[in-house]
Amino acid sequence: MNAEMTLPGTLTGNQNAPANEAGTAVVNFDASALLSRVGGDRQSLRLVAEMFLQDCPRLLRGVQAALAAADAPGLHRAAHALRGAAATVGALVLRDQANVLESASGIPDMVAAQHAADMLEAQFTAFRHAVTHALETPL
Amino acid sequence: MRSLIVEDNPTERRLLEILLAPYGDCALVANGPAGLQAFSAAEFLPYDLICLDIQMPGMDGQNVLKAIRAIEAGRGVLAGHGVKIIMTTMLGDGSNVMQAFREFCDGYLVKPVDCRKLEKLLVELALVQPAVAAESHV
Repeated sequence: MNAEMTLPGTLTGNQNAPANEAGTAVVNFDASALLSRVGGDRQSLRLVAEMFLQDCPRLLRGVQAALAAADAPGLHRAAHALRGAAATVGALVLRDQANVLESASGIPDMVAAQHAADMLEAQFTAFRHAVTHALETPL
Repeated sequence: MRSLIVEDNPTERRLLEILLAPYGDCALVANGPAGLQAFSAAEFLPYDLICLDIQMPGMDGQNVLKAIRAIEAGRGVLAGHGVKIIMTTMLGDGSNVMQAFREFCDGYLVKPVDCRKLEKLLVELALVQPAVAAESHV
């Protein structure tokens, strides 16, 4: 089991996590890392996670707007912002996908960027479910 | 300790706010010009610390840093005696970090910011005592 997924006494948010092609569980929400980042305070974790849930749709709209305008530099900035926010909150899948998008837009390869962007919405939904589950799970 | 966070990303801004809250008052702004304005307006009750995001749209952290140091020089503040400025940046941004040190920042943190790394830097910059840092995030 991935050490990021389950730390005794902390939130995991990864129950029923799907497996990737390598057969390892996909970690949508690295709650342990975020909890550690905020010094173990569960309320702080909640505040940071809720801020991300509130702001992420804006970030995703920024990605879509840049794609629609074929604005590679704008897409690069939007992907960078999404990657940073996702890394902060422990949204590992979103972070990695934003990284792919950022790389593609930096080339720029707008076809690859579009492909990467197509998956962001579903990954955000999966993250939101993982966070909701984690926040509802008592320690 | 009075802190000012200049960060355009709301999630990262919230995290820094939470991490700095145990040390005193903390003001938040979302872009470079607002950060510069907040610094200028606080001449008679200055900030002890500014956390400055390097990559922001419009006026980025490098230009805010340069402008703050220029204002301090104009006020007669000697180099090394101004407000402590910590640049925040993401991995793989080494050239920006080097540039920031050339413009007299006092330290940097790689995002996502971690409470222990922040505390360590605050102690190194003599902004907080080690005992206070130890109590802030148990």
